[in-house]
Formats: sequence, C-alpha cells, structure tokens
Amino acid sequence: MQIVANGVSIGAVLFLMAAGLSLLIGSMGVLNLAHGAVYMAGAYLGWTICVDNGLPLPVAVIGAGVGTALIGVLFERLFHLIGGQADQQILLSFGLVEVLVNLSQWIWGAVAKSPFQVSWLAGSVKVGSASIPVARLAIAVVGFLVAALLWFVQDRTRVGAIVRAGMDDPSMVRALGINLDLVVAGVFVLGSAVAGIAGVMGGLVLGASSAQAIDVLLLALIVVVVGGVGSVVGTFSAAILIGVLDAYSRSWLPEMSSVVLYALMALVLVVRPTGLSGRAAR
Amino acid sequence: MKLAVPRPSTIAFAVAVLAVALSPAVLDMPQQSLLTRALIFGLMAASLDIAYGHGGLASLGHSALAGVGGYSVGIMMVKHEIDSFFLGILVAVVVSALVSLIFGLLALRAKGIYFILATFTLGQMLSNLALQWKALKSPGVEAIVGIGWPSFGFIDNWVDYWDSTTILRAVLVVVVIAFLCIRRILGSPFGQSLRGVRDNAERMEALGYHAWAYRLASIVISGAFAGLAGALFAYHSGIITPSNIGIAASGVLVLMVILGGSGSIYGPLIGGMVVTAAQFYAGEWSEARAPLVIGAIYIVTALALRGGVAGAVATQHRRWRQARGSA
Repeated sequence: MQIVANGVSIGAVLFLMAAGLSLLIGSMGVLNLAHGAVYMAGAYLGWTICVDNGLPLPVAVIGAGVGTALIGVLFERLFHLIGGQADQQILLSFGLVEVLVNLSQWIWGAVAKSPFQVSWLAGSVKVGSASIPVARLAIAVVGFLVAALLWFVQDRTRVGAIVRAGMDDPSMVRALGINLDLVVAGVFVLGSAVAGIAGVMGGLVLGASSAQAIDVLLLALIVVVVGGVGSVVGTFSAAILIGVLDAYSRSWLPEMSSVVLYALMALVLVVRPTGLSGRAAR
Repeated sequence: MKLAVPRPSTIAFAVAVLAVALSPAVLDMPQQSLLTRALIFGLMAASLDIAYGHGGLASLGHSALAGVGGYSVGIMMVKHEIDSFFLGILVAVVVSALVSLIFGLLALRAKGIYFILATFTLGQMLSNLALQWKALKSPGVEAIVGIGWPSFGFIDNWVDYWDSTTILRAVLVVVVIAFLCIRRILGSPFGQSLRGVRDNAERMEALGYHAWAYRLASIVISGAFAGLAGALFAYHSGIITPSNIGIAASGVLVLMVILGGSGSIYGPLIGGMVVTAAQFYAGEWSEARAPLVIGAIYIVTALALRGGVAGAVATQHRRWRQARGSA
C-alpha cells in the first residue's frame, strides 16, 4: 500500500511530464528532448519561490508555470525555425539541455536541493497499516486534476478536436483554414507550463537537481513509448503503471530497478510497437 | 596498362594520415593524447554514420554500444587479467555486435520518432545497468578503473616502451584500418542498397530487397565498429564510466556526425575529431562554463549547418565546377 501510494504520486509527476511530450510528438512530430530541462527549470523556480522566499505553494506553482511557459515560447520559436527535421530537433534539444543545465548550475549551484518542506503539507494520513505523506497526496491530486482538465480539453472541446485532427491529417486541417501552427505553438507552451508545474510538485518529494533534466525525461520517454503518443488516457495509465512499477522494483530489486522498466518497455515494443493507445507515430 | 588515378579525397586522406603519423614531432604529450582521443571519437562517429547517415536510422544509443566494447576489454583486463590487445578487440567487437543485434531487433519494431525514443531508452538502460550492477564496477567506485595499455604480442618486440607517441601511432593504424573497412562496406553493393532502403524503402522492397534485413545489418555493423572504438577508448583512457556511455555521450556522437556531414564518407571522421578538440579546449577555457560552448555548437549546427561540413565543401566544390564550366 505504502509502495503503491509512492508509485502513484511519482506516476502523477511523470504524467504531467509525458503529457506535453506525447502531445508534441503526436501533433507536430516534434521531438523535444529538452522537455526534462524545462521540468528542471520548474523545480528550481519552485524552490526559489517556495523555499527560498517562503511564499505559499500555489504561488510557486503559478510562478513556475508562467516561467516555464516563457521558456516554452522561446523553445517553440527555435523548433519552428528548424522545421520538421528529426536530426536538427535532436541537436537543438541537446543544445538547449546543455545550456539550461549549465545556467541552472550557475544560478542555483551544483548541489542538489533537498525535497521542499511545506508546513501545511507536512505529516501523513493513516490508511490501514500504511501512512501516506500528505505531500504525496497533494501531488496525486494535482496530477489527477490536470489529467482530467487535459482530457476534457482534448476530447470535448473545439481546440482539442483541432489538435486531434492535426495529428491525423495536418494538410486537411490547414486546408480548412485553421492556423495549425498557432495551435501547435499553443500546445508547446501549454506543455512546457505543465512540465514546470510537474517540477514544482515533484520537488515536494524529489527536490531539484540538474540531473533531473535527463533522469525525469528518461522516465517520461518510457511512459510515452509504453502509453503511445497523443492520447491523454493512454499516457495517464502508462504513467501510473510506470510509477508503481518503479516504486516496487526499487524496493525489491535495488540493484536492477531501472532494468525492470526497460524490460516492460521492450515488451511493449515487441508486442505493440505503437504503445497502449495505438496511434501510429508519424 | 592504365594507371588508376586516386581521387582527390583519397590523396587528402593519405596526406592527413601521414601528417598525424608525423605530428609527434611538433606536438607535446597532452596534445598527442588529445589527438589520439580525437581519432578514437572520429572512428566512433564514423561507425554511427553507417546506420545513421547511410541507413537513415537516427540512433541515440550509440555510445552505449561503444561502451559495451569498452566495458568488455575493461572487465577482461581488470577482473580476469587478460591483456592481449587482439583478443580484447575481438571480444569487444563480437559482444558489441551481439548487443547491437538485440538492440536492432527491439528498436526496429518502432518507426520514425519512436525508433529514436527506443534507441534512447535502450542505450540509457545499459548506462543505468553499468551504474547499478556490481559486476560492472571496480570495488568502491562507479566505474571500471585501472585498465592498462594492452600487450600487442609480437609487435611489443618492436616497441621499446609505449609512450604517447607510440600509442598515437598504434591507434592511428587501427583507426585507419577500421575506417578503410567502413569505407569499403559503404562503397559496396551492400552500401548502395542500404542507401536505397533509406531513400525509398517501398521501391527497394518492390525490387526484391528485404529492407528490414538491411536496416538490421547496418545496426549490427555499426555496433561492431562502435565496439572497436569503445575498446580503444577504454585502453587509451584507462577508465570507463557510466557517463561515458550515457545519453549525453550519444548526443555528442550525433553532433559529430551531423557537424561533419551525415551520409558522407569522411565527414563523421572529421566531425568526431573537431568536436573532441572543441570539447577539450572549451574545458581548458573554463571548466564550469564549457557546456555553454558545447550547447552553442549544438544549437548553431541545428539552425545553420544542414549538410554538415562535408555538405558545405561539396556545395562549394559544385559551385566552383559550375563557375569553371560556364567560363
């Protein structure tokens, strides 16, 4: 129970990360490997607002969300410049990771920040024999809320319909007179803001460190491969699955923990290469 | 009998090899060591380009395949005291080729961006394994340390002792032989068909070529040469760590290939050497701010340099010939 609860909260953070990645790959074929660096920036911004300046957590969530949305605007412009070439996207991503990680070490120092302490989220709730920290519950709540919101927008609104249509037939969407570039730019900025929020919420249990730029990205990529691109429900179920599996393997097989996740990913690749949600990658 | 005239690029290559062989006359010891390292990374980048540029398979796990070779010779030497160079590289190449086969079988299930994600995560799996598994670590550290320069059997009789000069020349010989093999493979009918599969898989299938088999073969060959380069890296550095084989290292290999010009013959070799030197001098300039320089090289390459250095040279050459033709 304890392990499941830990896993679900990590899964919620992973979902927030993977949602942006998978929407971008699905809607524009944009592979933004700097998404983990955006998460990291969110975590550090959250630390500055919440821990260093002692402002309330919701302020940190909004502040980091706005900050990473601005980073998203910059990234979107750069990715827009190079077009749809995977080669260039990889190089641009890596360059942005190098720069953001180095800048964050410059600003916040090379030493990792310990998990954020928030007074009203201290303590834990007893559920049966397990005691679940309130902070982890808060993470799960935020993750579930954002998941519900994203699902609603993508499945029930006009904008969501445009995004879904853009994944299936971009030239048709453009022919209908819709400015798809603008919609994609919006997805990019929104995805970055959500990654920043993930950074703050994840900071409650993981703290902030420059290694997260790659570590969190990697877990999110596994979520994307397992869940398939472009579907909120697929990404969400994969994220929770990966979170729980990661928590279990960490406690049972510490020497091999990450291998378990990769084994799952390899299995999905072999059995169902398009991931659980099954939309083909472009 | 008609004497075959070597192509200008072949002559330039021969001159460059000769220049490297004679360079210890003007280079000091650290510079010789840097040049050795640059040669090794040139070979590693050239090996990546077999699958990347010629097979059209963007791999983000290549440094892990090189790492398999490096870890193979490291473990043989440190844990089993087998120090023969020839046995070492044989094992490194075979093991890397086998791991690449498994990699390829898994990753080729995925298409497009999915393939890139699969190679990224598979490569990172090996790096994590190296970080977590005790069998892949020297006691007390998270790396294999104390890998010595190997013994070369009868060749050792000709060399008084292995200093940076003789090591540079030995690595040069191995890298040149391996590179000529790669050039031969890419120029063969196999290389032609591989590029055909890259450019139009459906047409090649219709002509009776098995696209999947060509892709898999390119990944295995690419991995085998990566294993050789990784083994050279471990011998030369004396240490191999999980970060040597992680995603950042794989990203640098992609930079080397694209900066040099993917799908060209000499481009990746040049790109590998240039980026290795740039990394070294950026570190000399400022240890703490070096990543900003590397990041800038990445971003500028992504934004500006589409065909790489080799592409730029080819374009200039074409313009020059056109100008001469019209005059």
